[in-house]
Amino acid sequence: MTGIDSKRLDWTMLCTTLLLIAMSVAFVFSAQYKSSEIMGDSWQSQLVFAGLGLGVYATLVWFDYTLVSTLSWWIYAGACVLLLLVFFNPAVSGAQRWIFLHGFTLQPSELAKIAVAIKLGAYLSSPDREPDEWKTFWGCVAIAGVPFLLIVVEPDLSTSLTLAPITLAIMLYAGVKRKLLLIGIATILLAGTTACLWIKYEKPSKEQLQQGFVAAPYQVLPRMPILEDYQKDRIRVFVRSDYDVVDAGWNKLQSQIAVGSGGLHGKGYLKGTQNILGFLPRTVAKSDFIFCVIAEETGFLGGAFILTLYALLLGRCMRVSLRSRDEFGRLMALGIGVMLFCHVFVNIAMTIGVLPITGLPLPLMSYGGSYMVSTMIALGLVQSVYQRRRII
Amino acid sequence: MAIRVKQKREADTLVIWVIFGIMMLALCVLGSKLWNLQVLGKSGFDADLYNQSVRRVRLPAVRGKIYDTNAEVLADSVPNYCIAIYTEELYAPKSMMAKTLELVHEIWLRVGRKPDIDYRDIQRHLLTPEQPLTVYKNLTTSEIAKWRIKFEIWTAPPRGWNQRYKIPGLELEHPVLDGNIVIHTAELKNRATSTAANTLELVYKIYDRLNGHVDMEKLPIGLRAIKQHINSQRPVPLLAWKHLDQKTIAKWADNCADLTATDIYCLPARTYPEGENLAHLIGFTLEADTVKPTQGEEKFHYDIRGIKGKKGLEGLYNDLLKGEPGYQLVQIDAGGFHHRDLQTQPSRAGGDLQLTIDKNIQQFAKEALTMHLDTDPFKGPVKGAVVVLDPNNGDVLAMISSPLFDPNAYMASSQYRQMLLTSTNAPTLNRAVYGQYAPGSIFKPIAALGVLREYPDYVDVLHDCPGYHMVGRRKMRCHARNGHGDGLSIRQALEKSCNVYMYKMAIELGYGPIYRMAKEFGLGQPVGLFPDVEDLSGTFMIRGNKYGNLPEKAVGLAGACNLSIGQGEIVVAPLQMAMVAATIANGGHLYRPRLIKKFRFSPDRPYETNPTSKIRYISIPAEALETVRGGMRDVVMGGAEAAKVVQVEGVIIAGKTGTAEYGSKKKGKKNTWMISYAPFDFPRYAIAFIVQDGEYGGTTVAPRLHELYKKIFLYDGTITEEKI
Repeated sequence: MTGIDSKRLDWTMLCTTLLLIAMSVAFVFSAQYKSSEIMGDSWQSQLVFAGLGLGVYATLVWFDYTLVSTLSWWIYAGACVLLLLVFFNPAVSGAQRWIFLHGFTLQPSELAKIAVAIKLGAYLSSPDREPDEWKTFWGCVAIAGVPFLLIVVEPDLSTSLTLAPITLAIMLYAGVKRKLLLIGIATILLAGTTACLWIKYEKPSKEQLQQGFVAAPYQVLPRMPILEDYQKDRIRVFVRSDYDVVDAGWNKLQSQIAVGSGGLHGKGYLKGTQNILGFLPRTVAKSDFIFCVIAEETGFLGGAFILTLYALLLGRCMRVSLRSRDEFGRLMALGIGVMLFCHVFVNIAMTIGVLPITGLPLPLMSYGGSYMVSTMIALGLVQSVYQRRRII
Repeated sequence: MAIRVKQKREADTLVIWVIFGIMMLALCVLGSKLWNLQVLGKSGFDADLYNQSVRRVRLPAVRGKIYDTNAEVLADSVPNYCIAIYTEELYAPKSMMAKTLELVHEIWLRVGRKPDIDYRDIQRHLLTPEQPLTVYKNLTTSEIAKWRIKFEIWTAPPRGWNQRYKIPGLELEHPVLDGNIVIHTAELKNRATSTAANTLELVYKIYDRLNGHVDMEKLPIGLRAIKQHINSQRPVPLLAWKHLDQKTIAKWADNCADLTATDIYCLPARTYPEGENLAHLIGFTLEADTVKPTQGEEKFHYDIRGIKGKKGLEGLYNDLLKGEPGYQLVQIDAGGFHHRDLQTQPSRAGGDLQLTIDKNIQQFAKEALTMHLDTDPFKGPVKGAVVVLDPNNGDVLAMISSPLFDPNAYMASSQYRQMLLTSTNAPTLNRAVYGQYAPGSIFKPIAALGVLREYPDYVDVLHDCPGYHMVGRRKMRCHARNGHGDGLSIRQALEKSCNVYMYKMAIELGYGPIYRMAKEFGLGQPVGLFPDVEDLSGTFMIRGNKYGNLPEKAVGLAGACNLSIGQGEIVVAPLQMAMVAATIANGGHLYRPRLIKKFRFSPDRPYETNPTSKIRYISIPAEALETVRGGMRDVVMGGAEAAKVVQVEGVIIAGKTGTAEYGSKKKGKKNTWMISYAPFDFPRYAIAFIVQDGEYGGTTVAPRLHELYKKIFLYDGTITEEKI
């Protein structure tokens, strides 16, 4: 079943992908052309990465995805080994997330997410699996848990947290302890909301009232044992619009100013002042905050267009999941769809101030080689499932 | 073996649909938030964007000129050449020299005394940068202690760290080695230079090239000032040297042309060609303060400061002279670097003033006032004032106060300013306007006019003068010890300045007639030349709406007697007495003194005339006027008194001397006066002349007044050289 049948390709998905990549190259250029003398021309490398990604994409479409199912243990083990290798590499600003190859950096956690989706799919779709058993449940938890813990230790909390929705979506679909999961999700959501509201609106104690506190909503944060200082800062920045705007709150403030000043039509391509003047830090403008550059230069229309493209892409992923020939393809496509969605949502939400600042890049748009290639791997797998779909 | 065939359940596809639904919902939420942010909230973010990236730079305006009545320049705007350093161009890594200089300066700031090496030493040292460089040798124990404390603070670990901050070039463990401070320049090699370091190096370079050597203590600007400039107003040029002379500019052009990021920058400055002659009247300018923006006014972020009038006309007419500063809207990037100019509003030049002052007469007045006579009882500079008015319209032709000061030196040097401030002679006080003195005998014409207006028959009343008069039990003396003789008329009393006649007259007729006339002459009231005289109310000898003092009621007979000879509580300014002389000369027209002849609000608009105005017409009977004028004419032309030295061949001059005592009797301090006008028949000049601490009006002031009249009449062609 190898080979590419162009009649069975999902052209909509492919075209959406190509359009997003084209826009990525254009706006990475816009984000960096002012600083290219110092930092080099990133758009060219982004083009190379895209080309590389398309090659991988084509290769994956060529091969039957069932091969991936067969090799799922190898893939999973490989991803875990890469995650371990991270700890033999130097730390960058306190975190060991990257493997430094010769002139190339690799972030294995990106690949690990796909590996988890593949492994879970393969694990749950094996014919003798009984989904509603505790054994299956714990198996799933173990498959997701190992990379989760490895990524948490790096530390990279936000990336590790994206593993949760992928795992949950796959388990829900496969019917692993569905009631338990639903109750669990509901409980977590409820607890989370309560915690957030508590953090935001906690009343000051009597002592503090005496000391003249009018409202001290953030006092609970310093006492939270799990969170790192920078994470507490990010939460403070999120709940308070004026928190430490010079340092911790700078990116959030500047990104909101950039998006907000874009207006309906934007300032025009290559005319985003926030970006040109460097208020939006040049190091992150082309990577995590690329949506910000787009929204500033093309306005609401551009931003909404990007959102529509992502909606289309995600819709196609779900469609592939529905049309899949077998259970593995269905689960894998679903997991990958959820993974992409998490990245899109969290990244754009943080850019416009709906969520705290995290380090999740925007799929297909943010500058970065390993992320571009891993996204193309994910999409290639989905396309490969579609190639060999059920014909209704 | 049973093969289990899994049944496709409906719920499974439902899960996918639900997940898809959640995704779409979430993206819709993002879309709506984006709409809120970008379309509904745009204006707020636009304002934020503008505030953080657009800066307003002030462009100073050229200050207007001040001319004299013949359109000679009295105050001019000239370029103040500065050496400017554009710190924006100095961010690129430069040299080891910059890094070393910065470190040396940082240490200097903390040790507090000049390093034991200089610029050339560092240059020489950098040929072998591997060697350690001794910056300070043999520090005293107190210096070491100070340095150790400062070093501890300098290297204190930042918050959340537990390791002390290592300063490249300095040893963390040994800030002091055997009483020396040693730096290791090799450690600086791989560091990037800061903009401040590069700026510092450039300052050194320019200084070296201008002077041939560097005296590190005489640098025009230190590291701290450089850092402050870079932090707070980077897009504005840093003006390191100001007030350059031609020689330095030429040197700069010869030696520094190849240096980047530096240029000659021109600020407007002020010069007064007449120097000290008009210092009190015109005042001076100083660098303007950084003003806090008043409400509604747009803030200047970066201020190239202009100049502001501080005293005299410069201060009073500052708003007219200063013009409108322009501005430049500059877009800056996040690092504070100049990105591009958005909008430039050029500055508008200030308006001009033309004064009624004649700079020649002013010069004569100065020469006459400051000349030294052998009879002068005082030492040091003459203290006094001269006011010359045109009696026909109240124009101020000259107005001078002594001791003098040089406004050009005042603006240039703070030591000079300090010297003036501490001087006991109050050299910056404009005595002609703000001086307050008892008039003494020069008040007698007013007293005589007052009496003659209300009692015209008094012209025939004769009194005897035995040299004193008993007022109650108090013996009030005349200045002539043995008296002026018997049967004096009022005209003779004026000529001889007889006090006894005045006493008898005052006792006979009371305080009223004299007071009413003095009040009509404007004594004790503001004259409207300098409105801020009125603002001074309560701070000086002036209380309420008063200028000088004229008591409303006399205390007993002695009070009336005192007023009749211009002593006691009455005080006047020389300007007021000049007005009195002018009013007697023109027959009762009390003109408001006029200093501004014409003015315009900008150089491209026509002049507007400042009209002459009359305060009031004092109706005085012609006979009374004739008697008093006659008496004043006799003072100068009569020949009997010392005041005859005033006489100038060919001109009839009228005048009245005065010698007013002040302070305690024992000290015997006297202010000597003359008021005068000439020519007698068609007066063109009315003068009040005061010299403080003189001998007598006739001996101290009269020769000076003669000098002044002679020069004025020579100048205006009334007399010629041969006649003298």
